[in-house]
Amino acid sequence: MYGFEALTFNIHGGYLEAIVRGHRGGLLTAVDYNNLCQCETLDDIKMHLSATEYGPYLQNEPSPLRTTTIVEKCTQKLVDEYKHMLTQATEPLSTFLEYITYGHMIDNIVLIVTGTLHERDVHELLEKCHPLGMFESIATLAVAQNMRELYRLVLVDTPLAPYFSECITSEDLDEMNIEIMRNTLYKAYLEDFYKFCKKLGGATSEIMCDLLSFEADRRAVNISINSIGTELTRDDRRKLFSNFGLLYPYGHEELALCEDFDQVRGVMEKYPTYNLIFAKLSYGESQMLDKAFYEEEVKRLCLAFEQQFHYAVFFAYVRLREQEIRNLMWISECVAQNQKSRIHDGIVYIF
Amino acid sequence: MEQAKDAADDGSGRVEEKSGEADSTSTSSCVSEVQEAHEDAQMLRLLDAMDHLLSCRDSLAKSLSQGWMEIASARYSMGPSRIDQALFSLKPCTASTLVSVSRTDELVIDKGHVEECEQECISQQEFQFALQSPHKDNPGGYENAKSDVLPQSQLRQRHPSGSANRQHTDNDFEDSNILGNDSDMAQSKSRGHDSLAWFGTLVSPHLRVAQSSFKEALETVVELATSQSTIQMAYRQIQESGGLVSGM
Repeated sequence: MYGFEALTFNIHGGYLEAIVRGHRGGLLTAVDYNNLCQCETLDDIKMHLSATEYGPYLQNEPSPLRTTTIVEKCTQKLVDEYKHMLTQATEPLSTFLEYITYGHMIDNIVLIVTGTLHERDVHELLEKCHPLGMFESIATLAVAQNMRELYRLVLVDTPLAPYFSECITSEDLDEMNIEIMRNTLYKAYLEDFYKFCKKLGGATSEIMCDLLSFEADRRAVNISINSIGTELTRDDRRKLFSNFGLLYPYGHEELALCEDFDQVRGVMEKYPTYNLIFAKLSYGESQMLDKAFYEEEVKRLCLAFEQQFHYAVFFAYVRLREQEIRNLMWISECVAQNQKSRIHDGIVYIF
Repeated sequence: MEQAKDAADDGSGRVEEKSGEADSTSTSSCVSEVQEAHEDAQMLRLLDAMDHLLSCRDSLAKSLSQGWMEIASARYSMGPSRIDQALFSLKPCTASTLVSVSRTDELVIDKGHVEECEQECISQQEFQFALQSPHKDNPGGYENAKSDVLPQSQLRQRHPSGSANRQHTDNDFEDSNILGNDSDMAQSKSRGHDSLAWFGTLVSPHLRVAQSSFKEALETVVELATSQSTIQMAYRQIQESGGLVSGM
């Protein structure tokens, strides 16, 4: 019953909610970002981060630092915090926390399959996988020649098995099929996560359904823009959109027909939330769209912390950390490439 | 009379000698003027080529920095694991760009020696390239390639002669094997031709912009090489003509 979580939530979730709110306090602030923007080298960035919670993860890294090293170590911190919470969680929170990582699992599967198609060494690919998306027998993916084998040999024993029903074919894996597989899996995952959150009910359902709807809408826009000028047909494009969200179903029908960025803008301006996002961009400009969407997402994720006794704070925390890592990656790239003038094009301030 | 005639003859001889000397002086001054004009032209050519070289270098630096920033933007949008060198294809494929080198012979200045006319040819290397795209009917073939050597697949497309000769049969068998291997290779080459596909079919527009920036940088590199060889040639010519001037 919505409104009475205060009576029972803390029995099983109180400790972990306190933990995640403590972690939230460690997110970098605008002052930290301003200091980082003044850095001249990656070693300066390391020095500034040593005063934050990332300090212990970067202190033993030798110079010269690389951008990928900074991203890797910051991600490791997130993974350690997540694993601590997962080991302490009970049902249904443990299932909820596992759902958060399925997106990374899909990315890892696609990475291994694509790399194998390109005749890369499996061990090299495994090192590049996101640690939150690892599972046993992931290395066996390199053996599969088509999706049916992929499912039969490896994925049938993973949590992603139910998502494969729509994309099992005997066609050989090539770039187009792999891309369609990635997006079909992600669509099925989002819809399943949405249903799971709805079943949980209460504040979790209300906040998570809003966040997942935004995620589905953003994916629809990105798929539309990225498929402009490619071989993906309109019907195939429509099939990759999730069956929920503000844009479902009429927005999806219009997005499937778009041939350029301005047509996508025309569709999105009919929706009040997205009208504000596209208003920040000038006509014909698509470069700042990613940042505009990330800013909107961060706003919604921060609002999740305003309410207590729900699971959405865990999802919000993981996503905010990922945004923070993205900010650090962008700052590092701009410093490494001596493009400090562009540094503010990619930073999304969290608090 | 005879003395006067002799004196007149001597005078005319002196006049003739003096006019001969004047003629040779005017001829040599004409030659030196022509030489100076030629040297000025060479110097101007050198300076033009240097200006072109410097602007090419600026343009190259801008294209490369734009390309790298666009890759960073694409990684920001798609995620760092989706754009990584672990996704580069190690399958054999044709190069997407050919560089054909053509040499042009150019006549240099006549050294102007009276006894012997030496004309020296200094060759200048010019680089020209064309972006190659796989031909739809013949994926292993080359389009717009400025090369005298036929690609391997065309050389080996000899149809079986049907001869009973064992040697011919063996050759045909070998040819058909080679043909089979070539067509597989050609298909894999045509599929892997656009390196953007390594990162997925639905990639961020930033990655496409990065690709076009790097293609532009490649064109600039070749222009740079051409300018460099032009400068070297012009400098050599100026050095040589500078040696001639000091000798005179």
